[in-house]
Amino acid sequence: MTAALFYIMGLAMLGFGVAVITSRNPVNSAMSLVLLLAAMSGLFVLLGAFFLAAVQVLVYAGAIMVVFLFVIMFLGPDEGVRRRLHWFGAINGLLVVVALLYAFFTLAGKQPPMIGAEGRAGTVESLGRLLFSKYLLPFEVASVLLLVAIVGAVVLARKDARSS
Amino acid sequence: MLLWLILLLPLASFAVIGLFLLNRPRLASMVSAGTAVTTAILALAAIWKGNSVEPAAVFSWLRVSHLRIDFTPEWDRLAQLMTFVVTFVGALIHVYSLGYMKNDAGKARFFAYMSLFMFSMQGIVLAGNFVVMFVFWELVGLSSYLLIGFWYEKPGAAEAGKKALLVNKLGDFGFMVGILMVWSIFQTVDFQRLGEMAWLSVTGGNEMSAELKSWLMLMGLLLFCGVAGKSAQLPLHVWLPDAMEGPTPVSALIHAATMVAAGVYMLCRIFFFLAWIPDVLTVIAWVGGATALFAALCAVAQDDIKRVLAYSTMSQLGLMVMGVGLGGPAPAMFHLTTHAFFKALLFLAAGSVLVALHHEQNIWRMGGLRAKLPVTFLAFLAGMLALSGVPGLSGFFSKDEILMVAFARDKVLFGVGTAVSFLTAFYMTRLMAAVFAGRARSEAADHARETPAVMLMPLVILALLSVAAGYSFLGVKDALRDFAGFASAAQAGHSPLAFWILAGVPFAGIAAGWLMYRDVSRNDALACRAPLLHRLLAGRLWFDELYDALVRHGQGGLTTVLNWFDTWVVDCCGVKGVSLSTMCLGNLLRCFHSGNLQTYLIYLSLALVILIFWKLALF
Amino acid sequence: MEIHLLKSEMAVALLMGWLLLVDLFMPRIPKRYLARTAVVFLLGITGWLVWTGAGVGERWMEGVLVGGGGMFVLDGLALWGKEFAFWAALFAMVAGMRFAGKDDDHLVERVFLQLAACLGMMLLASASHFALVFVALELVTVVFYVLVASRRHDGLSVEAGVKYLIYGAMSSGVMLYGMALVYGATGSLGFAETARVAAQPTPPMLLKMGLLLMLAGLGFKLAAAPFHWWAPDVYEGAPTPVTAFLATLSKGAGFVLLVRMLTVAFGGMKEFWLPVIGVMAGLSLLFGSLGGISQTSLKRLMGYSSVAHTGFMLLGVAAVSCAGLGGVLYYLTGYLLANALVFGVMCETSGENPYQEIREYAGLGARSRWLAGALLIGLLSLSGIPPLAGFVAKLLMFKAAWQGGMTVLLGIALLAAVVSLYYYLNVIRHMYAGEPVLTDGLRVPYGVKLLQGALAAGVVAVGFFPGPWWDGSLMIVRALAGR
Repeated sequence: MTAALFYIMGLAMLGFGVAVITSRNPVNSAMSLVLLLAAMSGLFVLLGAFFLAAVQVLVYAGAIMVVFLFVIMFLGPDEGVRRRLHWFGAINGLLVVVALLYAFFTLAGKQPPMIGAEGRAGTVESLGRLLFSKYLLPFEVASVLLLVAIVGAVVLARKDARSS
Repeated sequence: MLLWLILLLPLASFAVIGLFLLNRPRLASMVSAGTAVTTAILALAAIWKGNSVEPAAVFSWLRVSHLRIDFTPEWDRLAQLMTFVVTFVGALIHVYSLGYMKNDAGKARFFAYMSLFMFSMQGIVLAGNFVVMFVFWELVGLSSYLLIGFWYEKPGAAEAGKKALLVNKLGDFGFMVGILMVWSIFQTVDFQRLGEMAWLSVTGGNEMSAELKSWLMLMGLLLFCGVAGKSAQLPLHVWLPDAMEGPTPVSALIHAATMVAAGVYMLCRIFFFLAWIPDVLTVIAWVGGATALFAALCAVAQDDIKRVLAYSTMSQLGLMVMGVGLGGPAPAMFHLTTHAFFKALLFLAAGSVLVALHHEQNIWRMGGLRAKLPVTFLAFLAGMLALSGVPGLSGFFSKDEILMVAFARDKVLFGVGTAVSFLTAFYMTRLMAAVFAGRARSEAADHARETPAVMLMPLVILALLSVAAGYSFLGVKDALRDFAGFASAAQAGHSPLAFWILAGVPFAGIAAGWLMYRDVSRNDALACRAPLLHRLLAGRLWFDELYDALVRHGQGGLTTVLNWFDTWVVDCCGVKGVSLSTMCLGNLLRCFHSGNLQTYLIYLSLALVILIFWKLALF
Repeated sequence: MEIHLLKSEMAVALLMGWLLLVDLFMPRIPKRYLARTAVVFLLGITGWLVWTGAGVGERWMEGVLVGGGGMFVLDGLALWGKEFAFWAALFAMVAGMRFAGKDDDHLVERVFLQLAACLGMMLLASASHFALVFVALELVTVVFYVLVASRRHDGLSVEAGVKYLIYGAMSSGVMLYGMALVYGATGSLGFAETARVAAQPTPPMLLKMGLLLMLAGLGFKLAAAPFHWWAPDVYEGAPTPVTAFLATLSKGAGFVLLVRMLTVAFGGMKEFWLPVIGVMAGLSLLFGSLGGISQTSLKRLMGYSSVAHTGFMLLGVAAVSCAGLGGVLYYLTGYLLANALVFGVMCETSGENPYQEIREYAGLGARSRWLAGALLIGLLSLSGIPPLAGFVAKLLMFKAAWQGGMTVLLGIALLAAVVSLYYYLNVIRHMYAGEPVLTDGLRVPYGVKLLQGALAAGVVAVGFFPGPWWDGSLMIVRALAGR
């Protein structure tokens, strides 16, 4: 059951991922991305990380994608220019895929990954405990990072007093 | 702290002038002269404290495996004496320059260079090991070059600067190789540690192998190369007379009192070490003697007032080197000190004459200046008597000491020294007679007026010192009497015979000179009586011509061959080929940077894939 | 959580917060004064850090001070990295402020961002846990995404910003993937646990793969070939003070992390990563030196130069000896000073202008003796002329490589040194002998003269008296390797 669900979710993610980069209408791309993220939250559920799954849906599929769609609608959902696939890029992409597949099928199979003690429980409580004890420092730094991102966005986007 | 101040103040002055004051000549000259005087006062204070000066902070400059090079100021009696000479004479000459360079366009530059020189020279004096000494040695060479060519718009000056630099480089190259040999033989370049080693070897009396002996000999000779270059010893002497193209204070400070004496100072500094290789000392003594005689002969037939003095300097340096070579470093240092006083005095007085005569340098166009420049005349007279070694003046005592050593060690060199002494008195009398006696033989000489007080004051001080420095109450005479580094020096006996000879010779020289040049005409009396001899001497035994020919024919031929090789083989095949292929490769690599982001990302992932396959798949 | 170890970071964070709040609630205060106050405060923090060693003094030498459950260490390398971050940030802030217009709205925000990058590198220097490494690294990178594109009216700047963003995002992704694999292999993200697994006789393949991916990600930060493609474009397009910041802080952050990661976490896998670093070093040397030959823009040239310098420093990393790693720290010191000089002069001559043709530097010697002298010393140090810092630094690298037995790499490095000499000297030739394009005299304020004089004196002092710096670097690295 779990295995079957995993493959279904995985294939769905692959399919939506391809759709994101191939569809010519940006709204379609964005919607595919939403579905991709939803499928990914399914994977989280399978791993027992229920909180992460919920956050994934709420934040990514919900909030962030809505902002994306806003921007797209704001700019007008034109049909994108059809891009030709460059043979060099295609071969290269293929090579990357082969390399990663190779790495997984030959290397990862040899030794099962180790899961640390802290990774086993995906509940809100254990996550919260970790975030506010062991990972307090990265957590705080992440908040600084968000602040910096906001300020950066202001710097890049706000109109100059002069030009207005 | 005091020692660092003495060393670094002139550098600070150089930096300040060079960076900020090039357009403020008056201020620049004041800064430089003020620094020089302050340094001299500080130096006197430090010497007063003597060995009890708190040890300056050691500051380690370089450590490569067990080669350790520290900036540790050496402050033994030798360094103290030399510091006194350098800072004191330097300060006087700075003051004098205030007057001499008063209206020169490049005044600020001049004083910047002078400060640089003072710094470098003090560095040599305080150097505690060969490498640091070499660094300052080169710096001194540089500042000398800059100052000789100070009036670079005169072709002669530029040429002379170049010559001095090249000839010095030749000697310095030998010096450098010598230092490398010291390092490879003894594994240290520190004077104190070398001293300890040399003591051990001498007192331990272990026999040296013949091979080591020959290496040591080579090392000693190479080190002496540096001395020969800096102190203008045969055969590297050719630059010194030409160096007189520089401003006169420079000639007085650098090419008479201090820098040229650096070679002698270095010989004394490493004397403990040379004493261990007697054969080298013998060579040094003979080179010194030959230089002294040769230069004294040349001085007899020069027409240029500064050139006469230049040859005289060379001759006296030869005497000092001879003194060291004979195993008498203490007398050599003593003579160095007194010589610094009276030779600086003579040059400064000559400069005073030149200023009065609007830079007329030919002595046959002077004359009759005794009445017109009374102070200069008296100063010059004191210097001349001291230089000639007239008993009772400083020059007599110091020369006497050197020649006493010579008398005890080598009678032939004593003879050479006596001859030099005679010739010195002779040519100095000739100079005096031509410049000050008789009547004026040119327009300029007729209208000469005494120079300003700022120039005369140093003259007077130096004149007093020239007269008195030989007496023991000033402390110069016995400063190095029982200096540890000179423990292996030869002890000179006192011979009444030699004493009387030495006391008499100057008078003989003066008498001969006076007889010959009593009535001066526009021409040299020697040229009339013995034209062949005069031409020989005036042409300085054609050393320059010989070198010229050597360079032209020997080097010229080689150059042609090398030029051909360079043009066709090196340039065409080597340089052009290499540079062209590098350019091509560079352009090829540049093609990767197309500016297209997608392309970059492709490269990135491609590199990643190759990395993964290479490191993980092929293992 | 051992809060007292984080004093300097907290001080910077407080400064950042204070800056934002004051700017928000007291809009009447001119922004330039605010920015200047920030510089003064940062200088104060720097002074405090240098004098007291972040409040721990010499205690780091007795043992590692660990905080946050092994996440945060305060050792010699950490202190060194923090000082580096401070100086780089200070210089970039001063350079950036000098050309801010009177009514520049974003001055305070830019200073804030520069402080954030500084904070990122400070955390990175102490990080010994991949979670902290990642957030700290992102903190540095995100700042640069914004700063590079901050000349919004200039197409080249925006283009550079987009390139840097996309390239950087991809590199971050690669690096994050590598970290995930490391977690998979060890069950932990801490350096200590990773080191335990890496020290096994045959480390798991997953760990190797993870390390490779992380090295690729780091290669982006270091501008090491073959991950350096962005460097010339972004260096050219970014505003000049930002380029200076990018060349110093970003690279310093990358190297501090690289040194700690490779010695502490992956010290047991030397045989594995050594060839990778070696290849990266060789390629960087070749691309950096040969690619720069026919450049006509000085800023672009500095991009290539930065790649070449990365190559030299990787040489020291590849030597896997204390001498090599200590040499890297020494190299960075000289590199910081020389780059500050060169970019400082570039700012003076043409402001933030992205186009800086080498031709325009013709006759600089006549326009301003002072600027020409500063640029001369900076370029000579970068090209490795004795007795400047760059010379000793290169010498140390060569020596380390020689002792490490890497003859081929050493050959490439020598070649690269000679070739890069060509393009540096070319600039100098233009400066003094070229036919001037611009002839107006340049007025340099006294403050700038003072700064450049100090930097030049630093370049000379570090090169002429390598002793103290070299001893310090060696001590740091020995302490690191001894654990």
